Amino acid sequence: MAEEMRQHLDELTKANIAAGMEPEEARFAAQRRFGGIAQIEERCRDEHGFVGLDLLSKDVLFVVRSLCRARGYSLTVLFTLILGIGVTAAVYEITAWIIFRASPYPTSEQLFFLGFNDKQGSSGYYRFGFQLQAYREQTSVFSEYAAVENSVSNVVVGGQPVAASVNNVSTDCFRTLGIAPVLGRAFLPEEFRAGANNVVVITDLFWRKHLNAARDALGTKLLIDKQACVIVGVLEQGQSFPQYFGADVYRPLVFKLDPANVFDPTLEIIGRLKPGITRDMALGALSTVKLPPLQEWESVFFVDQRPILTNVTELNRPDIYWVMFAAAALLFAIACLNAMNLTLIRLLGRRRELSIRFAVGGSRWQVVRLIVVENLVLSLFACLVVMMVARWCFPPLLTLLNGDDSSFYLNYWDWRTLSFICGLSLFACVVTALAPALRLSRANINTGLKDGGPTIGESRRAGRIRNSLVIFQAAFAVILLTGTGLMVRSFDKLHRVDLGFNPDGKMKVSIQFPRGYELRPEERLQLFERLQRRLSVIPGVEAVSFGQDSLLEGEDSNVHLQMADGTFRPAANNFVSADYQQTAGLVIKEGRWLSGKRGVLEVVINEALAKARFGDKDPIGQSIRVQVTGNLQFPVVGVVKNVRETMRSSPGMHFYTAAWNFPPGINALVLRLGKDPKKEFADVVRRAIYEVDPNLISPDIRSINQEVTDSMWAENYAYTVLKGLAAVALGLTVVGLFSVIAYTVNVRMTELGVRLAVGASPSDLNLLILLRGLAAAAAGITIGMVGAFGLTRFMRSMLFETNPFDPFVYLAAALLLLAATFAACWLPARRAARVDVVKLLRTD
Amino acid sequence: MSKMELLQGTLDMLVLRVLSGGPMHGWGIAQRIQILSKDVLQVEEGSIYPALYRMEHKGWIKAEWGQSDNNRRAKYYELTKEGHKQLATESKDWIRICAAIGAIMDSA
Repeated sequence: MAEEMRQHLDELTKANIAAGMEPEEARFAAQRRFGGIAQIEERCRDEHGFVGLDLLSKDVLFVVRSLCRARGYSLTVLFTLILGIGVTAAVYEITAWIIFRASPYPTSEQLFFLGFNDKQGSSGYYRFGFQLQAYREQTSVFSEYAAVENSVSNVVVGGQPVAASVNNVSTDCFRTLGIAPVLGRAFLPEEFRAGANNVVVITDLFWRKHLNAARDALGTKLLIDKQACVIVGVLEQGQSFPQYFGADVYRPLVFKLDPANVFDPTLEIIGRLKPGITRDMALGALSTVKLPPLQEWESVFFVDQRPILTNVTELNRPDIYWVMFAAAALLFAIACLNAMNLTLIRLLGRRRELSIRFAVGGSRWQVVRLIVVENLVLSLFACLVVMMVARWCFPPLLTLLNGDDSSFYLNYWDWRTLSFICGLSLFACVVTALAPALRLSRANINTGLKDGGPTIGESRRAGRIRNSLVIFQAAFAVILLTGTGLMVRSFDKLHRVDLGFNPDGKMKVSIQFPRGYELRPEERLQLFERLQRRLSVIPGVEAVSFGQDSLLEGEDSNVHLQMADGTFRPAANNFVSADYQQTAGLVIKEGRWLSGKRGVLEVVINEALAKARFGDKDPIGQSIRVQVTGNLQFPVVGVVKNVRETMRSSPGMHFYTAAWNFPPGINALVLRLGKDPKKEFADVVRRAIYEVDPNLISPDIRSINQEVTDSMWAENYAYTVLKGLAAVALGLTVVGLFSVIAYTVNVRMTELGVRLAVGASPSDLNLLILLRGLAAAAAGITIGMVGAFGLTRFMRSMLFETNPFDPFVYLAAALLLLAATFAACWLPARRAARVDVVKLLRTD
Repeated sequence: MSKMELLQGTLDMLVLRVLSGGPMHGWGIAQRIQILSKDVLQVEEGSIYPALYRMEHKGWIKAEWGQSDNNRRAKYYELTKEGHKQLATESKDWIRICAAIGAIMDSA
């Protein structure tokens, strides 16, 4: 109590004593005259404004004490909030860098990819050197251009050839994109001239992987297509590049047009608009650009091409991130609903206490404030825990998701994440405090006090509110479960795809030749035979074969096959060595494999071709004709099982002919090993290839299973995340249902006892409670189904051979939720069945 | 004549009026109101403190610790410029209300 008020009382007491009162009496009289001391103190504090520190700390202390008393409630709410906030923040971390985060390039709103589309509907973002030249000369809408040439090059570090991509960058490239090395320097203007361009800037990842992150890496040399290039700079860790611009090694682009070949160099171009120029103005300017005269066959390529401009931030936004983000938002909603429900239940449990508070003069505002502070304390605590988790658990989590070789680096402990977490907590707090506060503002002290009597029961309205909260919780959970179910189904389908061969232990090696490296057909055949011999002596390798394509090479219909009706249809041919079938494990369905004898024309076709070309007739002994071979007929000697060209496409028409028919087509090898090799094995193979011929480039050496996994990364990613989210959502829903049902049982105890007394059997009561929970779940499932029906269509692009409205998945989600409901209601229902009438009657 | 409850909202005005005579501490203000009202008004003396804090918060008065007559530390309240203005407004309003109520009562 403030000093001056104490003095005031003293003075009053003194005056009373002076008037002849007994000291005791004088003090009472003084207090009467002064008024209710506690109330006046309270009013004084209120006058200090809301954030009186003294008041707040008092409230907080009180709240913490009362929360500690209600341990079950506090822990459940904390658990809910931590899960909700933590998981949402984690998913936000994974997804936000793609969908929300500001572009890392300065004034990126002015940076546009220069691309094209044509009447056939195809589009692309590559342009040619002479076009860039024309843009530069004829337009003035761009202030600078960043251009790169993706080059196929052989990179050798310390005598070891490595898998690395090389991009040749234009003079303005780094500056336009705001990229600068953290170690060393960027390229000098004079280094963009032929002969002076033997310098490279490498990425952080390349530096760590191949140079052991050595500080003195600057100045060391690496071989690019046998040219020694000096490392002059290392880029920042996690340096992002626009799509098509990313590579491991950057080298100055020597911009020189070749009049004999207009398609050289092929560039990806980003232009920076001059201030005040809009996209439409720039498009107008670009479409007026006149190309220099071209050969007729060259100009065919450019017919009907219209320029398009795409902002750098618009590319590279896969929908899986949106799906994951939406899933996380749903989970957060579930968590909030849960916390809200628990707070409401707690409020109802404290009805009597609060009514007494009102009765003895507490204002509504004070009680609401108490509730708000209580929620604030809880959510701040949750926020703190999540921050700790974010600090220590997100990095390993992300590594787990991205694999150890993560190509991007995330700053998970930055102010964005932290403020996101705080924002979520605050939102959760406001939302959870809102419902109780609203209810309180209408609370009736009389009924509150009266309800404390023997007729205790919940109000219909409160029950309805809690019920609808649970229903929505269940609905959101069903949506999540359905989405996850679809992913599971799609994932399962992908895993069960019959590739047409056994992928275990198979490895593919693609070989590329540097520009200007010409081999006569016979030399090429011999080279591959040498490679075959060299690779087959590597320990662990059981067999090696070569051919035009390896396995899972993608669709490439390179020839036209004459059909039964005389028309030509596209088909794929593969020139292979005689042992290819054994190495790759192709399954012969009919006839035999190629004999491999020189000069013997023969062909093996796949089932798809056999069916399309010969129908039900036996193809063995028939012959096929393809357009390029003129009048040559290839007799069919065998039929093999269909082999998929990609994971997702159904096999097309395919046939195999001997490699000697056309050696220039050979550019791949297939290896068979006893088991799937380790990742490092690729370097062993690369090394062996380098020994055979140091000119050869082998960027892609992978096991087939690795390729399969890689091609499913998006599914894998979404599947892993969604699975986790759905499990948490289901758990939270169970908690929500449990708390509501358990509370209902609690407040209806008397009623249940009466029912029992007038003849209901315990199993009747059990059923009563179970039905109540199941009814809520059923309502939730219905709403959730409708929601899922509306939302899962957005997942269509991620689903493989799976109908977004797959009834089986919907049914499974519903059943799972029902089972969970059953589990959640089981305990409370059992408690209801075991109600002890005598005890109940005694207590009230 | 029995004691009467203070009209709602007039306490601030009374305190301001009392303080317009010069700085004073809480106890003094309460005594002064008591004396000036010739013991008619019954003020819960404690309630002048919330009023004082409120007005201090609004900037109508300012407080300073000083020495009281009997040599004890006491908080002295003083009108600010704002406070004088406020008092003028409230007095004017008060007179108008009294006149209006008086007119109605007389007409009957």
